[in-house]
Amino acid sequence: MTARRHTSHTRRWTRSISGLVCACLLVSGAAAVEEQGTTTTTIGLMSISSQTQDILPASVAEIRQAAEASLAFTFAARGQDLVSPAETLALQRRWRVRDNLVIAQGFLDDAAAELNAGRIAVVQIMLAPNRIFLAGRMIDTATGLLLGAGTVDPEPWTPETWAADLDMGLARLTTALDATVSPSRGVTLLILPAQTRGIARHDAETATHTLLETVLRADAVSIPDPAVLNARLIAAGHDPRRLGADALAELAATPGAQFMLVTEILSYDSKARGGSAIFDDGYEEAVPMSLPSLTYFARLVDLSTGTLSASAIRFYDDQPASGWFGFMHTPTSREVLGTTARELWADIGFHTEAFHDQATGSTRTLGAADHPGRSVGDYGSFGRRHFVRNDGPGHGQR
Amino acid sequence: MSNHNLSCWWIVLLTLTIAGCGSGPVYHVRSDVDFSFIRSVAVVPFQNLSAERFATQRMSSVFISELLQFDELMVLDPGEVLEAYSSMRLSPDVPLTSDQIVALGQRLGVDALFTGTVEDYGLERLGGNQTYAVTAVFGMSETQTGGQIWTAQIRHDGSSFWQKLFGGQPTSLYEVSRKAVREALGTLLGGGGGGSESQNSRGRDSSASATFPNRFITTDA
Repeated sequence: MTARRHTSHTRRWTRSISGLVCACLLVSGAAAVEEQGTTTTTIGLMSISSQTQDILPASVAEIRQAAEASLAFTFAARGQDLVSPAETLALQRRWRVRDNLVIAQGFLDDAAAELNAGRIAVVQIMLAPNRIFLAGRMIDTATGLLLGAGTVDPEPWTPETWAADLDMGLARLTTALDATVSPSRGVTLLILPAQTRGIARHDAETATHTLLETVLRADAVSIPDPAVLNARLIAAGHDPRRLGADALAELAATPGAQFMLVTEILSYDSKARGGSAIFDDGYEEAVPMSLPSLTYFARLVDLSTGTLSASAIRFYDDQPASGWFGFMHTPTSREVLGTTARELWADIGFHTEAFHDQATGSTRTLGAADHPGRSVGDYGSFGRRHFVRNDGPGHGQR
Repeated sequence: MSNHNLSCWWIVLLTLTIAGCGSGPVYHVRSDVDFSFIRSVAVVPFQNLSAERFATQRMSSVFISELLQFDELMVLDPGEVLEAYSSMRLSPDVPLTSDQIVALGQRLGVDALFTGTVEDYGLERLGGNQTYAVTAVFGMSETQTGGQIWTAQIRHDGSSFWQKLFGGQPTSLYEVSRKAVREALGTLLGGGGGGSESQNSRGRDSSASATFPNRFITTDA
C-alpha cells in the first residue's frame, strides 16, 4: 500500500514537472514568434503507426483526435495559425496523401494557393509498447525545401497519462522543428528516406529524420523534402529503392542538385522476433522491438554519372556499454542513430572543399590519411571519402 | 645455453608458427587481360547459399565500401544495378551467363561486373569457443565477352590464437566480413590478400599479380 502510494506520488510529481517544462516550451516558442514579428499559416499533416494493436492506450481515432487538439493548442500558444484538420483532410484526399513519406508537389501547391499555408508540419506518431516515438519535418510550400526536421526521445506512456505524455512530446517536437533555417542555403543535396531491413518502423523513421536533422544543422545545404522527391519518382513510374539512369536523370533536373545521399540500415540480428507493424502494408517482416546490432551504410551518388562519389559505413553493436564504476548504459535508438548519422556525415565530408573542387572539374583524390577511421564507443568505424578520378574529357559521363 | 632453455625457445617458436598459420584466399587472375582498360564497374547482387537471410545484403554493402577504398575504379550505384536486374528479369539466386553479363554491361555502361556468392555466414563452434565465420567466393567478369577474369574464394573467422587460449568476446560478424572482403579484394587490387602473395595465398597465377602489383593503373597515370 505504501509502495503504491509512493509510486502514485512520484508519478504526480513527474507529471507536474512535465507540464511545467511543456509550458516553458510554449512560452519560449511564442516569444520567438513575437521576435520574428510574422506568423505563417501552417498545415499539420499527421500520421500514426503502431507496432502492436493490442497494447494501444486508446483507439487510433481517439489518439488522432488528441494529437490534433494538442498540435492546435501548441501552435495557438505560439501565436501561429494552424489550418483546421477538416480542411487539411480534404486536400489530403484530393492528392491521396496517405503516407508521410510520399507527398505530391500538387499538395504543396494547393496548400499555398487555396489555404494560404506557407509551411507544412509533418508529424509522425509511432506507438511502441510503453513508448511514444515522434518524428517530424517542416516543409516550405513555396520551394518544397525542408525548413526543419527533428525527433524527440520516446515518451513513456501509461494508460492513465498517455494524453499528457503525447502533449509533452508534441510540444518538444514543435520546438525542434521551429529551429527554422532559411529555405535556400547554397548547395542542393537530395536525401531519400533510409532503406532498412530488419529494424522496426519507428527506428526507420527515426533514422531518416535524425539524418535530415544532422545535415540541416551541419552544413549550408538545401534539402528538398524526401517525401516530395519520393512522390515525384513514383509518379514518373520509378521505384525509389531502385533508381535507374532515367530516375537519376529525373532527379538531376532538380535545380542545383548534383548529389544524392542514399542510406541503408541492415540488421545484424539473426533471431528476428517481435510483432510486425499493423498500419503499413509494406512492412510485414518480424522485427526486434529494440534496435539490434546493425550496419548503417551511406553512399553519395553523383547524379550526372550514376557513380558513387563517397561512401561510409558504421557498425553498431547492441551490447550495452559499461561506463564508470560499472554502470551499464543502454542508449536510445535516437541516440544511436543520431550519433551514427553525424559520424557518417563527417566521414563523407560533403562540406569539404574537395566536393566543390570536383564540381568545378579539378582533379583531386583524398587518401586514407585524409580521413582515417576512428573508434567511438561501441561503433566499429570505417569511413572513407572517394572521389571519382577525372582523367580525361568526358570521362565518366554518359 | 642449457637444454631446458633451448626447448623452451623451440616451444615458443612452434607456437608462434602455428598461431601465424591461416588459410588465405584461393584466387585466380587471368594473365592475358589488360586490367588498365577497366575503369567503371558495377557490383551485382550476391548469391546466397547460407542460412542467413540478410547475408548477401550485408556482404554487398561491406564489399562496396571496401571497393571504394581503392581509388582506381568508378563504382556504379547499386540501386541502378537493381533496377537493371529487375527490368532484365534477372534473379540474384541464379549465376549470370556470359550473354547476360555482356547485356548487363551494355545496359549499365560499365567495363566489368563484380559477382559474389556467400557460401557460409554466421556463428560456428570451434572446440569450446563460438566464433563468427564467413566463406565467400568473389569474381569479376569483363563485359565485352562475359569472361571471368578474377575469382577468389575466402574463408575468414573471428577466432584468434589468443582468443582460443584465453577466451573472450568473439569478433563481430561485421568485422569478420570486412576482413574477408578486404583480403579477397587485396588479391586483385592490392598487394595480395593483405600479405605476401607467395606465402599467404595459393593463387595459381602469382606471376601475373607480381607483374601488375596494381593492375588498374595505366602506365601513364
